[in-house]
Amino acid sequence: MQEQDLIERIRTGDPRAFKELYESSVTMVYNVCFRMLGDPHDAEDVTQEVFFEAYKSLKRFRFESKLSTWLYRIAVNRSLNHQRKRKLERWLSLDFNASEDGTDNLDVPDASEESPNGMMEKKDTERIVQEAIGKLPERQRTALLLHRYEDLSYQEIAKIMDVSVASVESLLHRAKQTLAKNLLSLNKEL
Amino acid sequence: MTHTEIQQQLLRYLDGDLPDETMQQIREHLSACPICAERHTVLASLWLSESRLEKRKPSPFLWTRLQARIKEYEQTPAFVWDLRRTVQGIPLRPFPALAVLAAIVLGIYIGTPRESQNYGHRQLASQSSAAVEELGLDQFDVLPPGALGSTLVRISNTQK
Repeated sequence: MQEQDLIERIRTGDPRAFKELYESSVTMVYNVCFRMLGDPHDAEDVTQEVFFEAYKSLKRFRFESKLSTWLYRIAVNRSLNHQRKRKLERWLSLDFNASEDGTDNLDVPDASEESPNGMMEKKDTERIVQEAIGKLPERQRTALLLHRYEDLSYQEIAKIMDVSVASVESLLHRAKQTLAKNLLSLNKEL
Repeated sequence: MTHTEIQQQLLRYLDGDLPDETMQQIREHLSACPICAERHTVLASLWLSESRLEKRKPSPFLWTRLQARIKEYEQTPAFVWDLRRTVQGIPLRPFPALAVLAAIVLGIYIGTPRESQNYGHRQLASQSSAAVEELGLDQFDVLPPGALGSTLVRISNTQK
């Protein structure tokens, strides 16, 4: 009911209503984009795209799913489009050295209470895991990120990705199998 | 289960995402196999220590940028906005790849021998032979070098 009221207020042009939506969802959207793209600047650009798209499309929202599910879906699709566009641009500019999973720009959250050694280990762990996840096929990576980092259920992931629950299970199982191999291989390289 | 199968299941094992029977099988295997146990330790140190639920915050200026964009959208006619989006969607850095492609095409064009050039040489040679016969220059075996006649005889001899 609260969601419905909020959307009705946005549709009638209430500027505070859209800001309320933004403030309640921006962290969630930004984190999905960051996990998918691995770069904080790209994540901000895509987050802006997501909310802009939401602003334009809220008139057509039919309450067939939760508002958060709808926003997740836009965030995932926009992030994938952005990634594909970047890949094409890199190929056309013959720049084959740039990292595809964004681990070059990985930004670890500030943990000022940690010792320098602790910070380095944390950064290494983050980088290895992010790099290993970045090597997964697109759909496996998406399912894994939504399950692991957004704590979404199989049903919610199925709605976001527009697949069956059985497909989500299968994607997650295969993702973890491949990821185990990638993690062990990357850890050996260190 | 083989060692490879055990190792492939380790992340699901760490997440507790397997049937009880399989969890028990893996637990027993790890207590008996030092290699798989070592890999379990490595994966646990990476997978479990990662701060997965820590949330990052975007820049506080993101809202300002979004507002500016919405304002621009509201003030721009729809067809202009759509046209701008279409143009912005075209990748603008194809030049290195296009330059390489152009160089390849140019190289193929320059390297391909032309039929018309060969035809011109053959025509000149046949005309020279005809001139030698008409002028009776074939009886002059030795002529000063550079003389027109010596050139025509040389061409004629080449054709024979």
